[in-house]
Amino acid sequence: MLDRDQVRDQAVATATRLCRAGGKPAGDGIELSDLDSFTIVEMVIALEDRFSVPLLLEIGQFTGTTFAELADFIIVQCDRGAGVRAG
Amino acid sequence: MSAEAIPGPSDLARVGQERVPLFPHVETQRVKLRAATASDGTDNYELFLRNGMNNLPNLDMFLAAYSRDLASHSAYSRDLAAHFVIRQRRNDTDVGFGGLFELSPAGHVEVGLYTEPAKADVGIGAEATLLFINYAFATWRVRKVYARTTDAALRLFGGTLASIARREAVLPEHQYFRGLLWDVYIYAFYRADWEARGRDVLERLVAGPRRPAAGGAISGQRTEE
Repeated sequence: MLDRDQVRDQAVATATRLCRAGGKPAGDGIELSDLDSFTIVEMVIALEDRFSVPLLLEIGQFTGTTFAELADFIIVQCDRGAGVRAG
Repeated sequence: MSAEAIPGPSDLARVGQERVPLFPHVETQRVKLRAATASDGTDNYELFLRNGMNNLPNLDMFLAAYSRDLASHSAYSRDLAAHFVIRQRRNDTDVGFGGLFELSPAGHVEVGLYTEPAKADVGIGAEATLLFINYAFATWRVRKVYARTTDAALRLFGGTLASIARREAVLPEHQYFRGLLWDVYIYAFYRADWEARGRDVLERLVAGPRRPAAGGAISGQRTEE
């Protein structure tokens, strides 16, 4: 079972790295709503690779606005994937 | 020539990797580009209207740009080298348009695209932008792809593509849009930068995620290659 705070921290760290690479300010208070769509796409595929779970094809269903909600979404997708493989 | 200067097998493999030509992808896992036709013209015009573009010609003049016979008479014709409809594969919905314009023997072409945020999932426009830029470099021997933008769209821009974008010109108060005069920024993406950094992002979006090993449990630990 993934830890929600760890998943959130990983998403924040990935977003921060991508923002800085793209020349945008990214301090400690970075919010999901600060991200442009290019950064979001790259963050999501990085998290797909990090957690070995398909996320980008499902991201249209994500309605949250915070990194914590994104972490919940990732955990649900991981659990769903684990369920499919177990079945 | 000294013995040390002779490339070994690993060097040759690296050289081989660097020479893999770009492929003109027209779809990722979520986005598909299809060729725009005259029948798409009205939808294109309405999208521009909804986005608030107020420098449009009347509809007849706009549609003339799609006609082989009338394009040269259209004030809106911009010498399209490629014109695509952007389709969101999740629900097979057309969510925007884009084109590559004014292909020049000097080795450049301009990209422009418009999506409808109410219809498109997050990042669909970003993926389409990567497809368009790659298509230009893969199809023609252009050195750079230009993009025009304003402050209204600049904040939508980021990631690896922003890191390789070079601002090459500013046209002050150039565009009249939604009642204001906007500075227009002209950015360029160079082939060498695209091949070094941009193409990897697109190739990953085309290929999709790596599949977990059969029977492998999700541990949350990074899988190193």
